[in-house]
Amino acid sequence: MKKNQKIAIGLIIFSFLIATVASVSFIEKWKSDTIVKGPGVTKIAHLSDYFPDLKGEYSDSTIYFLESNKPGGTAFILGGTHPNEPASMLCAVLFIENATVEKGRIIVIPQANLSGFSHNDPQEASPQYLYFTTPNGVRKFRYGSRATNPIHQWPDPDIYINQFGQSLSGSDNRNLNRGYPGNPSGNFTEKICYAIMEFIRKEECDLSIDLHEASPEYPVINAIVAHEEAGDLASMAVMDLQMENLEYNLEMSPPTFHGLTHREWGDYSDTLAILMESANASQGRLRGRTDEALALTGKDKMYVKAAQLGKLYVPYDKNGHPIEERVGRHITAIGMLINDFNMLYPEKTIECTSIPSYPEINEKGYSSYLKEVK
Amino acid sequence: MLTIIYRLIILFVTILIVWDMFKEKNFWSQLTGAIVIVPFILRMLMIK
Repeated sequence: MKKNQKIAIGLIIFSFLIATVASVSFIEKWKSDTIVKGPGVTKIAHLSDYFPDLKGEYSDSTIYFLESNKPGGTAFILGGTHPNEPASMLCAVLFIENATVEKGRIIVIPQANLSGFSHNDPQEASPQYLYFTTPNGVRKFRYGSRATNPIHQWPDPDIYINQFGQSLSGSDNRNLNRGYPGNPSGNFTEKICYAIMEFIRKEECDLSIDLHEASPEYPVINAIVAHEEAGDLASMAVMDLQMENLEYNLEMSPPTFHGLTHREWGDYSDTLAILMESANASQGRLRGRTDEALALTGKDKMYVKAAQLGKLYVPYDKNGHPIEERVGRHITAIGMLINDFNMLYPEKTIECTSIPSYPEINEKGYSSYLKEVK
Repeated sequence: MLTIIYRLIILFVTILIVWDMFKEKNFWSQLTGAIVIVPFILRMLMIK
């Protein structure tokens, strides 16, 4: 055998070793995150219960019901539409593991786009996991990609034309928040959207909240975006939040910007549709070193510099925007929305306890609210 | 069906690269081929 052939064999073995090591890491990410059923959880279901085509698919997300024995309204909290926006999922997890509903019910889907949690975007250096040290051990949650995993849905078109005839970037084909109201015979992601819409309709959700994060240079940040039917509610909540020294921008859902929850949830069901954003440096384009610390603390010299140059839409200093602040904002805003919903619709009251306040979560840390895994 | 065709195309290209690695006498070109086939293997197996 010639020398170059021996080298080729050696290099091929090397390639397979690299592929094996990488495979172990990638396949590990397919495993589900552990979410503890809190004292308020009364029932667990799956999206396939509302759209059977998802049965057996990776996209069959888990749904957590927190029900009281007193009639009232139904609030729906959706986390994890974009798995690279950790406060979204973590806020939903906090509700599942802590909340108790005293009247009405709250239903939570913590990981809307499960496929997105199974991978990371290439060339972004994203952390694979976020770790939280609790008194009962370390809990970990996946940090994923904004979009569905290409191994579940391929190929991307050059241009994605949604069901409204609007042209979007091809990769938005795998963006859950561009596929609503969904299509039962559409692509993998559109089917997830359809399942969530079916769930909202069948469960008659009165108030539906989609949690997100945004990069600090994005104008729709620290914001509540509301469908026009939810305009009064959102306005009240923003004013109440301002009285708690939490500044929020109020944006009305553009009637012609289709595919998003704040538009289509409201147009295709009777729910009051709300979307909320908090500030996440780890998904921004101006960031420096990308790692777990950035996702959890938001501390980034590049963003401090960008703030000094007036390029950001949120205040930014060396303290960053820690996960406690971001989850705390979401929790507090959800609480305000529910309180104001109760004022507007007293016949559909929703009451919930055991959720930390904004000062509490900032003081005690997010880890304090994660339960023991048994 | 399209995904099966896609995976077959990747397999074909991977075989071509491996074949080239055996014919190539420049070590750095062989190394380049070795690096290139790693994502091809992962995508062929639908791991990444």
